[in-house]
Formats: sequence, structure tokens, C-alpha cells
Amino acid sequence: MDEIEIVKGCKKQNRVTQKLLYELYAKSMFRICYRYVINNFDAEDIVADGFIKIFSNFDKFEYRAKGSLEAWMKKIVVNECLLFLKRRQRINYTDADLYILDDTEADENLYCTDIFKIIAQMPDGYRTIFNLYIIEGYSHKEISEILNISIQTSKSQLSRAKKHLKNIITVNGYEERNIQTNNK
Amino acid sequence: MDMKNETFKQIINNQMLTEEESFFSDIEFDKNLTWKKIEKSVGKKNNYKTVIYSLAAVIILLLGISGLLFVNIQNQNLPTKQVSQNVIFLKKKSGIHSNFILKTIDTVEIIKIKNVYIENIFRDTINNYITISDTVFVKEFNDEIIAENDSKNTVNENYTLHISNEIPEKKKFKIKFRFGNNFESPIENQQSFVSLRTNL
Repeated sequence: MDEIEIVKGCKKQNRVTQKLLYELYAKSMFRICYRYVINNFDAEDIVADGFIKIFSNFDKFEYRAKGSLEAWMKKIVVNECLLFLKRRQRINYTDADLYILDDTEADENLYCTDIFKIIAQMPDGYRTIFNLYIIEGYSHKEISEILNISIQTSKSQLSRAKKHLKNIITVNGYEERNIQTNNK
Repeated sequence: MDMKNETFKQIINNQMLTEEESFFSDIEFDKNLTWKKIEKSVGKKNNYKTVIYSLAAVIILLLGISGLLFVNIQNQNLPTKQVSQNVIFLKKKSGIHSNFILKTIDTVEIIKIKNVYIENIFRDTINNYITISDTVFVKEFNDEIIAENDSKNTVNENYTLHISNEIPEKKKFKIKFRFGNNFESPIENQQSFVSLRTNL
């Protein structure tokens, strides 16, 4: 069954097709959730809530091209993660401590291993912005709208996340190398 | 800065792709249990939907039925009102009061004004007579005769109708009748009016 048929089936609330869609994307959605909440039980709950939302809102989804379904589902699941964090009040963004990383401070050519573990060690606020900006590809403007914070706060949190990442790498002695050198 | 950010993003994403499988191999995800939760909730939602739709359908149906009944009642009331209006009209014109009181207007139904249907009728199946329990006015007469006024020359007292046709066996029935123009109308221009009064 191809993606278009799955979409058609899910629009009709066909349980078999819904299960098929779940089987296809459950794992990747779980991994997204885990990146945000760093707890497999919470991540499972969010996956469940996300899929319930996906199935009940399928009539609003319009299939455009390959990948559009996954992108739509991902958006719903990420929103569920943010809702979860908000409910738990695990994030506290403050405008007071605006901090923008200087260019010289950031090592953009940082190379490290165990990136998931490093992300997991980040505070919730940093991790959320890091996930949204670096991994999901949202802009600071979009993040500011999603999280109801200022663009500056979003930038500040990202800078702090990057610094945090660098610190962990340095403290733990992760391998750091220049990509340019590596590419030569 | 943008370029650096893009490069940074790329590095991180590539790194994540490389490490994803090994990292998540240690993390348990109970796929079946999660599906059961989803299935249960989606099923419940569907049940709610069914219940809500059923309730809505029942409400619409009830509203429809009550609407029909209301229209029906209104339709029944309309000719009754016409009868009452006729009574008032007659009272004014004739100056006769006591003999022109319509008591059970709710059982009287006029069709085309000329023909009167009365449900409150006492019937004598042996003699094929019926007695009407109230005063009724009929403004004009129709050629169609089903029941005739049997007491042709009496004006003020009881009227008994002789049914020329068979009396229906049903307990409640409607009889279409016509009274003969056997007395002078109390209305000007000798308009054909009939008054009927019974002792019941």
C-alpha cells in the first residue's frame, strides 16, 4: 500500500490503514518525542496523543507530495511535545538573561560523538530551542511564535545551548576537530 | 553567521543520523502498548461521535414530530376560529344570543365553510338517528347531502339528524351533513342559515 492509499484509508478512519501508518512512523515519532522529553514513558504517551490527534485531524490533511505526510505528522508530534513540556512547566525562558554567542565563541566546525547523550544532558529550555532550530529546522521567528517568546530569547537560548554543547564536549573530552581539516 | 549555523546544523544532523540506531537500541519503546492506547482512545472518540450523532438525529426527529403536531394543531384550530367568528358575526347580526352559543368548538371542524364535521355525536344505530350535542352554524349549503336535518320546522329546540347513509361503526367518526333551508334566516337578505341545538 503506498502513501496515497494510506492517506485515503486514514481519511475514512479505516482502522487497518491507521495501524499501517502507525507501524510505519511510530518509531521515528517516538525518537522525536524522546529528544524533547528524555524519558521513554513520557515519549510513549506523547506518541499516543500525537497519533490520536493525527487520526482525528486527518480530514484536514492535504496530500501534496511524498514527504508531506511525514512532515505534517512530525509537526503535530512536536507540538504535542511542546504542550507536554509546557504542562509540566519544565521550561523557563527569561528575557533578562539575553545572551548571544559571539562568533568567536562558537566552534561551528565542532565534531563530536554521542550527540544524543549531549542533547539529553541539556536543560529543557536549551534542548527545546536546539531541537526546534537545529534539528527540526524552524527559524527563530517561528520558534518565537510557537513558544510565545521573543526572537532574542530564542537566539539567546540557542547560543547557550551551543555553549553548553561545547562545554560538555570539552569536559568529557569528546573529540573535537576541524571539519575543514577533516575534509582535506 | 547564517552560513556557520547551516554548517553546524548539517554536522549535528549528520551526526544524529549516524548515531541514532545505536543510541535508541538501548531505549525501550513499547509499540504495541502505545497502539492499544491509541486504539482505545480512537474507538472511544468514534463511540462518542456515534452517540452524539444519534442524539442529534433523535432531537431533530423529535423537533420534526413536534413541529408537525404543532402545525396539525394549528390547522385544527384555524377552522374552529372560523366557526367562532361566524358565531360572533351571527350574534351581532341577529341579536339572538342563547341559541347561538357554540359550546364544544374544539370538536367542530369546518371544511370549505359550507360543510361541517362534528365528532361529538351520539348515535342511535337502531333508528339510524344521531344527535348533535352542540349548536352549530352553517353559512351556506352544499348540494352534497349525507345527513339531513330531520326536524324540518323546529327552529329553537332540539334537532335530530337522520342519517340517510349507514352510520360508521367506529366509536369516533365524522359525519358530513347538510341542514335543509327550512326556516328563515335571522340574517338580513334571507341568507341561508341553520341553527341546531340539542338537549344533550
